[in-house]
Formats: sequence, structure tokens, C-alpha cells
Amino acid sequence: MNFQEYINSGIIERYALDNVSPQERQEIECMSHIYPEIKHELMIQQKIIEQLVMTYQVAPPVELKSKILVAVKNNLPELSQDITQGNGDSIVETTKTNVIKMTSPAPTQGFYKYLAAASIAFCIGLGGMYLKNNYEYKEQLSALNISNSGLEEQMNSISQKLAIIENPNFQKITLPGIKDKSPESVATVYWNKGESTVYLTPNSLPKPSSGKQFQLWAIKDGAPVDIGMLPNNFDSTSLIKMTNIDDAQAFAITMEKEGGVPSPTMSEMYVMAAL
Amino acid sequence: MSSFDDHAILINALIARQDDAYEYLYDRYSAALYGIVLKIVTDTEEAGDVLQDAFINISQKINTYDAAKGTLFTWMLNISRNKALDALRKKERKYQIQMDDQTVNTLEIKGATNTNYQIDSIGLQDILNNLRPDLKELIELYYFSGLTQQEITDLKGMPLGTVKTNIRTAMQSLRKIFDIN
Repeated sequence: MNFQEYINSGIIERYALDNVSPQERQEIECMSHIYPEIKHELMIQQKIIEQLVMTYQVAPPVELKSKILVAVKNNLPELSQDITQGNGDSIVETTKTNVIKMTSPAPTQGFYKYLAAASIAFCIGLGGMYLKNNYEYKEQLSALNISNSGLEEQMNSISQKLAIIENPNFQKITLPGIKDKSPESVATVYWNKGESTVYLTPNSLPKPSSGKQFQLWAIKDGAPVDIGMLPNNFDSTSLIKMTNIDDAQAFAITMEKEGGVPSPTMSEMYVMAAL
Repeated sequence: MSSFDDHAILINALIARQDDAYEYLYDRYSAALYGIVLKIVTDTEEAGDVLQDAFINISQKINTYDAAKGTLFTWMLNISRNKALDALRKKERKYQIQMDDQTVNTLEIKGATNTNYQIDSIGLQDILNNLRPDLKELIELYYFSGLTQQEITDLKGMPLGTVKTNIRTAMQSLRKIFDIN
């Protein structure tokens, strides 16, 4: 991978100078998980800024010390809240209350389609209950039951999906598109760390060019681990079971030759997210 | 030598709200953080308020600090700098980059231009004399005034590509000056 090119782009300096977009921030943090060279460069740039700032140091007025230490003490949150207090910029969230949210990258397709189908099936089922006792409509009911069986199949598939995305043991990790490669791409990883299971929804990925296939990677202990290929017939609502992984600091998808490769092609990375 | 020099111990103690850990944090970093805040807001009283605000924020968010993403100092630096830039923007809103004005681009960034307080890192500042003056100004505009590369381009009438290259050159020069490998 040509990380030198990445370093030369100046993005790491901008990161150290705290002048990057949230997406770039995530990108760099993910890159530095993958590539020790990038991490090394990042640490150097941060050191430079630290040294630079040190040259501007000014001792604050003496009376400020006790004032600030008292203010800090008085403003600490309740201990019980410590665990839940975050800085808000984490991209990892549990899926429990986010079923609707996950559809947002592809509002015209997504899960709305299934939700609509589900609600139709539900209405028909409800209508059926009323009709059940009504002799006059028995014939109509049987006709409805037939059309319902197709929906039932869909319902089962939705139920399976909901069981995964609603399971609080699954982390939902949104993988945004790589800015310079495919900014409009989005994918979502559902990861049950306890059981190591991984599912993937390719919310918005381009169709792979001929002879190519998307490959999912987990970054574990700084090294990329192949955790499976995406079948090329995926659609944006597919929920694809991938290879188990028990630990990961990041997930990424690259487009590789059909069947996959042992290590990711950096320039072909479409989406990624660090945890 | 304090056991808090080990940052893992320090951070655990901060999360556990040990008073001595906060005192250590203040003693160790307040001058650096106050320096950058003062450089940005320029008013000593306001700098004190911002520093307080920053320390409160640091103490409240300490459990979100991730050593994998950088040093504790950098993390605190970013919090303090952002608090100071927020305060500056609230107060002034005078980043008047008047591109239409043919005569003079008036940019009133006190932070980058005023040095009417005493920097007490004598000798430390001298080292920056080894940095080309235009590069020093650029870094100050970029880092201490929080201008974007585009705003600097507009301000200095310099192509964006040159601004980008110069920022990189400045960082490389600083790396040599500070002898960081």
C-alpha cells in the first residue's frame, strides 16, 4: 500500500493541527490502526504541535489554580453517570433504538420497503381476524391467505433481520465512504463481539466491475484480517453473514479480484470505520 | 518524580476523582494550556475563564480519552484550543476577509498578532526564530487563529496549493528544529 502518498497529502499535519472534518478524522484514526507507518507519522506530528505549543507557555495567575481546582471538583458529574458520559463523537452505537436510522443512507430502498410490506401483511392479518367469524367473506379470506403467503415469507426474512439488528448484543457500526474514493458509499456492520458473529448490510456500494468482488476486513491488533467476500448479487437491504471475528479495532471494505486476496489493496478501499 | 508521570496511573486517578491527580494535571499542563488560550483570546481575564472551562471539560470527559489516538497532552490541547476559538468567535466575529475590497484585506485576528503579554518561555520562543518568518506566521494563522486553508488563501492572496505546501514545509521545519524522529 502506498501510505507514503497518503502521508504526503498533508492530511496528517492537518489532523495534528486539529483542522480536519469529522470524516477525515475517522479515516485517519482508522488508517493509523491499520498502518504503523501512519500511526508513527501521526505521533510525530502531534509531538511537533506539542513542542510548538510549549514555546508559547505562560504561567497562569497564581490565584487561578485554587479557583479552577474547586470549579473542577464542583462540576464533576455523578459517579454513576461516568459510564454513559461520552463525548458524542463515537460512531459505534447499539442498535436497539435505531432501526429507522439505519435506513437513512438509502431512503428510497432500505428497510422502508420491508416495513411497508410488513405493515401491509399486518393489516391483512388484522382484517383476516375480523373476517374470520364472518361466513359471508370466507371465500375472500382464502384468496387473501394465498396472497398473504408471499408476504409471510418476506415477513420471516424481516423478522430474522430485526432479530439481529434489534439485539442489543450487536454493535451497529456505520462504515462511511472513503472521501477520495467513493464518498457516497455506505455499509453497516453488525457485530456481536461476545459471540464473534458479524453481519454486513451494503447500504450503498457500487456494483463491482467485472471480475471483481468486495471483501470485508477487520483490523485486529493492527493487522487486516479477511472476514469474507460479499456475494455480487447483494442489494442494499441484504444482511449478509460474514466470517466470525472476536476482536477488531476497525472494519473496512475493499474491491478485490473475484475470490479475494490475502491483504487489502489500499487504493481500493471504499468504506471504513474505526471503533 | 511522581507516580502520575505514568499516564495510565494518572488517568485512572483522574477518573477516580483523586484531588492530587487534578492538582498534578494542573501543575503539569496549565502553563502550556494557558499559553495557547491566551495566544488565542489575548485577554488575561478571559483566558482564565476559558482555561477553567477547559479544565472542567477535560475532567468531565476524561473517561472518553483514548490513548490510541494520541497523547493526553494533545487531547487536552485540542479541548483548550477549541474552547478558546469558540470564545474568540463569540466575542469578535471579525474575521473580515474582504475579498471584494481591493485596497486592504483587513483581518482582525488579535490572537495571531498581539503579543502584549509576556511570554515567559524565554528561550523557548527563541527557537522559533529558526523558522522562516512567513512559515511561522502561517502556522500561527492556521493553528492559533483557527483559519481554514481557504481563508488563509483569501487573506494572503496565495494559491491554495501554496498554502498547503507551506503548512507541510512549516511542520517539516519544526520537526527539524525540535529534533523529533
